[in-house]
Amino acid sequence: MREGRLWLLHLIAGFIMFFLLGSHIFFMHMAGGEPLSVEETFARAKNIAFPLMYTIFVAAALYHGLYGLRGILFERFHTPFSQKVINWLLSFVGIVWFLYALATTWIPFFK
Amino acid sequence: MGYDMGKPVKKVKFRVFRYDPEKDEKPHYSEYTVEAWKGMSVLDALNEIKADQDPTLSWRQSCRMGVCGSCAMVINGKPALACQTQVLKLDTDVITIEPLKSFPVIKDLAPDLQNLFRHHTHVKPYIIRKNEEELTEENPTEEFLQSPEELEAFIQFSYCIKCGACVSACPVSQSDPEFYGPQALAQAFRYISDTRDEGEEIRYAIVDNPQGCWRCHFAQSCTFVCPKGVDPAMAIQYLKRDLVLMSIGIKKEKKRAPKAPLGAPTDKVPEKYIPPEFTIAKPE
Amino acid sequence: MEKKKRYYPNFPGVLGWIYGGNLNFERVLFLLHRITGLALIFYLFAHIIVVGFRAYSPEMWEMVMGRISGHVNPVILFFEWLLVLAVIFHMFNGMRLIFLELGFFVGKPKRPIYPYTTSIDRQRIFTWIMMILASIFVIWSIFAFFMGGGSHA
Repeated sequence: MREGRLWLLHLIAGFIMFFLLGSHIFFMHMAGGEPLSVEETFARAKNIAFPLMYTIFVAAALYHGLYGLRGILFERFHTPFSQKVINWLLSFVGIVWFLYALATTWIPFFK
Repeated sequence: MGYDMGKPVKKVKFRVFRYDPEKDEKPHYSEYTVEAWKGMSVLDALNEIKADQDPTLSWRQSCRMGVCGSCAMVINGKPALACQTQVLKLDTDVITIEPLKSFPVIKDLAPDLQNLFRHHTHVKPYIIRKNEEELTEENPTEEFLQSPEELEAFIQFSYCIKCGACVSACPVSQSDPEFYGPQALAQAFRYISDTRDEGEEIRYAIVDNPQGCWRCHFAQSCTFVCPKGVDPAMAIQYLKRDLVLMSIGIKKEKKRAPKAPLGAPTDKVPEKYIPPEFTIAKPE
Repeated sequence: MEKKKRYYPNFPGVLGWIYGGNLNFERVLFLLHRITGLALIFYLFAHIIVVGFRAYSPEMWEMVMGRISGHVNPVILFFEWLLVLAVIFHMFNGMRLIFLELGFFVGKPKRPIYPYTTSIDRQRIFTWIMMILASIFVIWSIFAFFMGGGSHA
């Protein structure tokens, strides 16, 4: 049951990221126009939409990527103990990176 | 239109993987040249090599017509049945023959298929009924009725001859021998979709496992090489769909085969069958 | 003393993913999906840290972007383009896999009659559609990156 729910969440995160990552790449690289100056970048961070969108985006991206990495590592390590260690390690890495990303998006918003 | 089967066509070179566990440290390749005749299969070529050139060459074969699954080997990079592969259809002058990958090699072209059978046994490939009395041979109680449509739902997967080509071709099985493999997972689905079977909860729990169906990534190499058209990749994706729906609470009601009284009542079969119109004449 | 017989372990391991000769199209897609996925997750770790510099101060942000941005260094621009290629491929193949692994477009079980039509034939059309869409975006990205189409951030 648990494995099925984790895999379904992986698919849902992938589906969400199809649109979020697509628009991210579009706006960053393909939209055309001059590169934003530093002031414009900082002004954009004050708009509530950006931290909200980035929070969802980073959560989906980290979950999707770490689940994939877990799948590849589970092909090499089979004992229940090593699988538990991998689960905890990847969750820890994911949570640390997510908290750092949260901090760097929300602190400029509130500053 | 003449029947010219057996007519010699051209000389073909065979590079065959050799490994003798008593003498060799590492495997090597031996080369043989065989005169290919029209209609010759790779198995015929191996038999000719063993008869005329090298009697130490070993491999497994049995039915030579594609129903037993013994002669599966890697021919020019692709796992296939040797008896079903025509030498002239391969269209090359050098044919490389190796044993199935991701199984240990006992000798020459014979692999150790323990992993294949171990995973197959693990998914309980037999009809499971909650009331075990129904399946006894001595005292069966009822018959199960099954319509042709219910048969079509699983008969494709029952054509599996357990040759091991799919497990050898699967990229996940090649790096992970503990992955159940397309053969075992397709057989699990075959029993789950059989309306006579009542053990689907047991089998879903068996394959819902980090080494079970979740490690399949749909490379479809198993379907690509299967010599009987079993299509294990499709079975595994349907298995995943069932498990995902169950994990979010949508349970699909499985159709059960209705029962009927036994057509041949067991208590009325006589010990010795005597046709009713005549009795056995005594010799004069 | 008897010499112990040893079976030869015939396990290709990770190199088995690149197994020659047996490569059907979907297997190549699987291999590329795995490689791009690994590249992207490791890039993501670095990316979160680099973009995190924006939280510190405008001077820090200018220093970081002045060193490792595609605007200033063409080699980095090329690597950014490779990354965008990886993203486009992974996105479209991933969308394809979402549908196929849930059992859509793979066909129904039916009695195999030679010559067999399998799930490979039935999902080919969908695969080609996704790959053609991906190629369109790849061509657009070539224009955007190398022919002055645009860069925003």
